[in-house]
Amino acid sequence: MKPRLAPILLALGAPSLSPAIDEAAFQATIRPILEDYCIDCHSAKRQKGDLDLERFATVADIRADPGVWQHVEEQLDLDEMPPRDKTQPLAGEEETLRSWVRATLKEIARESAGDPGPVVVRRLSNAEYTYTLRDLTGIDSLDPAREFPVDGAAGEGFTNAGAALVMSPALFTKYLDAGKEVAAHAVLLPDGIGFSEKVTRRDWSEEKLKAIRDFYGRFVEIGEATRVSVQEVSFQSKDAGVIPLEKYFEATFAIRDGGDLEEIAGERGLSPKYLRTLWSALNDPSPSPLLEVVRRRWRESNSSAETAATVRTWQKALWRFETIERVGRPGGPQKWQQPAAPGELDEALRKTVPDGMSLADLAPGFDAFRELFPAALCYERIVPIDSVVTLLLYFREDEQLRRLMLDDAQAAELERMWHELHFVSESALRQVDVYEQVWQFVTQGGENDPAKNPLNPLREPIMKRAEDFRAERIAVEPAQLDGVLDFAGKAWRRPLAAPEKDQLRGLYQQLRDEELPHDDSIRLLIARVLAAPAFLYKLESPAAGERATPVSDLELATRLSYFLTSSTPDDELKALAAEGKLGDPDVLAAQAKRLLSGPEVRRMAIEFGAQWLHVRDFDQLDEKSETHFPGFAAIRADLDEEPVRYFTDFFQNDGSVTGLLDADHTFVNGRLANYYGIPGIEGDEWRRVDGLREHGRGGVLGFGATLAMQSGASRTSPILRGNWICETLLGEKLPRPPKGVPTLPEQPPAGLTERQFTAQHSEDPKCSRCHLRIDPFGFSLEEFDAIGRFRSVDAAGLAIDASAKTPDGAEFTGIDGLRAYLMNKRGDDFVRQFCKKLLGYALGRGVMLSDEPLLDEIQERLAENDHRVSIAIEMIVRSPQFREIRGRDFVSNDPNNP
Amino acid sequence: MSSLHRFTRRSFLRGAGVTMALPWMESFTVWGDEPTGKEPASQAPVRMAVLFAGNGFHSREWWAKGEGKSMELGKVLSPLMPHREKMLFIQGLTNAEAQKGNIHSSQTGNLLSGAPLASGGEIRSGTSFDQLVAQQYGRETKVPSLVLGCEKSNPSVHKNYSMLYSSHISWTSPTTPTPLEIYPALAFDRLFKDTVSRGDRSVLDAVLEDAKDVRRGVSNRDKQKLDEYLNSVREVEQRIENAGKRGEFRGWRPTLDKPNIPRPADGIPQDVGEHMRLMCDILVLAFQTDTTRVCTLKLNNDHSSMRFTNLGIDYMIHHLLSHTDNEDWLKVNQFFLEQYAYLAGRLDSIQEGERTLLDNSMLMFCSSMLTGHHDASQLPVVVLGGGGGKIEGGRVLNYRDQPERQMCRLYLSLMDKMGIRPGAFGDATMALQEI
Repeated sequence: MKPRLAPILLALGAPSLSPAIDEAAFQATIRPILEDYCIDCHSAKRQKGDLDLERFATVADIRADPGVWQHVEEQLDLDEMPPRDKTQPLAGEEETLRSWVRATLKEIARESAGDPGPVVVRRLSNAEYTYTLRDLTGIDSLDPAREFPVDGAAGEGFTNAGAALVMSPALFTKYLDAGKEVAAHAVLLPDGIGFSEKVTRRDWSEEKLKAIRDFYGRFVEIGEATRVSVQEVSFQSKDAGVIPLEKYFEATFAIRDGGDLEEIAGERGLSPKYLRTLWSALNDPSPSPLLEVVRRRWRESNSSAETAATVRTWQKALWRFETIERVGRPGGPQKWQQPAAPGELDEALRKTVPDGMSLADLAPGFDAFRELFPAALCYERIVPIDSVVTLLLYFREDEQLRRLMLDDAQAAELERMWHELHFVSESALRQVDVYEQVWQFVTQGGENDPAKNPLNPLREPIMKRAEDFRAERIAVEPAQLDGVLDFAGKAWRRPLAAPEKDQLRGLYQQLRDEELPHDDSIRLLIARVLAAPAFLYKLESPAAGERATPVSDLELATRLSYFLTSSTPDDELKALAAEGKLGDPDVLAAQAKRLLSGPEVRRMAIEFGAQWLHVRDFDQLDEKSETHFPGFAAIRADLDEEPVRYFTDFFQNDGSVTGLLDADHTFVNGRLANYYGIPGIEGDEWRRVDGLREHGRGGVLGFGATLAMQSGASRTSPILRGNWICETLLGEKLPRPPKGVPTLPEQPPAGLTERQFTAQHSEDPKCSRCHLRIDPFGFSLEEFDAIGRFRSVDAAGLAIDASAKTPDGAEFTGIDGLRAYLMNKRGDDFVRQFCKKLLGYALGRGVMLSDEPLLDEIQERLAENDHRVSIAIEMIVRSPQFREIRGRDFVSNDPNNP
Repeated sequence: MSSLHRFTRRSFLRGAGVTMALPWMESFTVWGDEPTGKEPASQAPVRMAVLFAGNGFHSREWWAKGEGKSMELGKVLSPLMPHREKMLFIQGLTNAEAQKGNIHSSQTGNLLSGAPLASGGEIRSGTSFDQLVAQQYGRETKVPSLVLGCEKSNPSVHKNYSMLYSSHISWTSPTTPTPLEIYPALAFDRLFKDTVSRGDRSVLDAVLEDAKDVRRGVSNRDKQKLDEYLNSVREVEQRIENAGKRGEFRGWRPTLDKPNIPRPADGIPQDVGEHMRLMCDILVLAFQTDTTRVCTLKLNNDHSSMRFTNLGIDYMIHHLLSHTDNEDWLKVNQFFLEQYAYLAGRLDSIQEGERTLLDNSMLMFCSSMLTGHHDASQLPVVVLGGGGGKIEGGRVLNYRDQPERQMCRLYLSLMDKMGIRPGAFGDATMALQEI
């Protein structure tokens, strides 16, 4: 062979001077090498392995299809080509070819850096679909995709790549049905629509009722028992809704000691309005005989309990409660809570007043006392329970609360809640039925003449209310339709265009014309919104032409939120997009940071972290022998949770990428700690535990889930584990296994450990080249059994040998040795692989040659910044590939991506 | 130029797919020399099912010799003894594209199309022949085709090839692996749930308009993706339109009007055998009621992680078991063939005039490799049934030493029995003369 090294070495020697790809070197040096060793098989005619290298006549041809050359580089790096039984290149020639290919690819990468790449329009994955619907409706229990076909993975191995997210008639039908199922959760409100976890009117009414009770509960506390008697039946009413007097008096002492009233109210969750009223009443110099009693007690006792006790004693004397059923009836009382007056100063009252003071002395102050201290702020129970037969569905008496405690906004909120309760429960209509029943009951009770039924005067107002409600229900239909339109804007992740609004209104009208009731039409309209391409697909509008352009702010908001939270953009993100600010990379990066710190990043932990490590849905893994591991099913869910907790913490607290390998901590609950043999941890609660080296845990290498996943049903597999480390953690491209792999018996022959048995298999010369690289990693993890537990002997009782020797001559033992080896020798590969996977996940496509410069840059910046993961995420979201889209008419040279 | 050559070759292989990227309603007449479904009205139509089992079979027990009644079968095939006279045992066919690329994942995704598979995390194969049949022949029936499975697909990428390839044999278009139904109850619903809710039609029209609008402003690739959606909605719409209209203009009537078994329970049966039998029962029902004439049933994935507690073999998953070639592997193989035999037996017990439903059907059974060691140089194939009196059973066909032994030739033969003659399919241009 004539030496051909000179020209290429020249070119490589001064790369900075000659960044362009050297056509002359290709013609003079590279093509002859190819012709000598490659093109025999990889000719245009033979195309062995589907590869034609002959067609690359000039450098321009390479530039047009660099993917083929990445493949060539891999084959050279793996030392796969030329095959062993063919003529081998001289040592220098091989290196020349390799260097030239590498340099050329680097140059092509530089030229095309930042290409957004071919991102086919992405359907929401099942997970994204579920999270999005949960976020849109606020219902966390929704699981609409539970019977959908499993999504496929593409790109870098994630289920968020468009190519793998398909549609079919059967699947579309499922989407439509799921949309209807979600629509069944819609609650029609007087001013629009809401969503409830439940699907019946009865449950919705209960929810609205509970909302009001919770509201009351912010201001009142459960009072003491009030005994009432109705028709010879006694009831205990414990829900008087009384003022939490002690807390307020406590607060007044704090103010007296120099505290700021508003601050104190805020800190203690008290009503500032009432605290102000109370404070000034206590410090008011104007004489009011009974209040003076309270003031004196307040001043002299310095005790909130004693002061409150005094107030309560008098509340009991100055107020009484009517039977709710009688309130508002003809001849009945107007209110439930009524002023009362004691006939005499009984023992209890006397104790509270100065000696010699008479009832008459105090009486002029009763009104002022009642004004400040009603016995009940509201009827907290709402549903009356103090009579056997009740005409009332809901009883409202809360004007004391409104008067004393609520500000205007709170009063309005309460008003809205009551309105919603009546609207949702259709109480006005139900009232009619109840009235008829009670009216009958009363008639049977002795008043045989219907004309004399005491309930007769109530008939007209009840009928009138029902009539009004029917009218209201029709009157609010447009508002509810508007509610669906608002919902559509949220679901479609963008404001609706005018024709779209018209179209939705048109469909509503059409449904009504088809004689569908209003409720059904609204629900079907919601289902239609959720079956639309604008909801199911992350649609983006590329510019005409071939050039890449930035996506719109709204599209960017969608990209960012699905990347980091697997769901629809939240309000802040949408607002920034609407203002046109999100296109600013600084704003975008700040938003990424915000989302990373939120709880929704757990989804990224699952969809990216667990999926990368191949343990997503590990809790459903059904691949372990029940005979060998009867307890496995019970621990699956905990093993599944560990990586999710780990990655959630990693993203939220800006963990170090290399820390994934050499961490000394993980997350466990009592069960998992016990499984791992970590003492002193009990209970269901998950927590971070540090210092786990001695237990063989910490970081991704120690996850029970991955160790179990990369094992057989009944025994470990050093090959699977080793392969997982090579391919998944280090991103090595191993050649495919040869055809005709020799047979492996299912159980190690007697006397052989699983390790020895694997080693025997790998001695086959066809297999050994790869296995020398794979197996040592797997061997070092032999101290973990097939379901991820620590062990010192294998299933047959033979001692475990966890020592390993890699092809580069390194020797180590066990998980600690492996960890140290990976950190010291393969740290860069690991970081590169992490970044590559993260980028592929962020973009929803496979990483391409033109992404290499970005990956180089990220890796550099990570090294300078303690490998904090936020650096990688920030650089990704700032990158052109994340923020831009290829032109609509882009023509690709890649036959795989036409 | 050499690059041109390469392109042409690929385009040719993908021929089917390129056209099918159009919405199917517009393209269906492109195929075949004559319109389909013009059987004499008095005759039952030909039905076709493909059953798939992953990871091949026992290396020494997949064989058949002799003819007709005197046929002898290897142990794997022993469950087929009762059906041997209606059986073709076919040896030596292969799929050239499946021998490239990776093991497993790139041996299955193109099994029924013969198309090249895209790697690098992309998804591209070819329209499978069953779906080609569905897109034409399927228009005659309420449901164009049924695509069933008994194992969830695998959401990952294996050695640069998406595992979608190893879990999908049916492809609606070159970029659309047909999603599988693995829930028996939902498969049943797909066939027989006819209650059209009021307003559905209007909703479908509306989203169809949406999709057409969106389609205007996107790249060609995205157009293809959105066509998946568009075609899906159209098919659902078609189904609603046809509801209640079926059979009015047809002389031949299926022997069953509506299902004679109850809707299966929700969920997936715990027992693998029960799951497979239920799916077979649904398939029988689909054919007997003439609700669909085309079905694929993927019993498990290639690279399957199924375990067989029902056979007392739970120490190893299917894929790893395939590498052992031991007695348990044989037992598992037989179990799969028993399902096939069960299906054939059920169909053979249903009389449709002179012939049985099995006589009017073609049931192909196949795998992605001959043995567990990824050997795809010849594929294991059995065909049961008479194809409407057009296939003579009880024979062993051996193509091992023939130059033109493309698997796609068999597909041309099977399609021919259904009156579909595309001229070329995958890498084949002529049918197998012997079938």
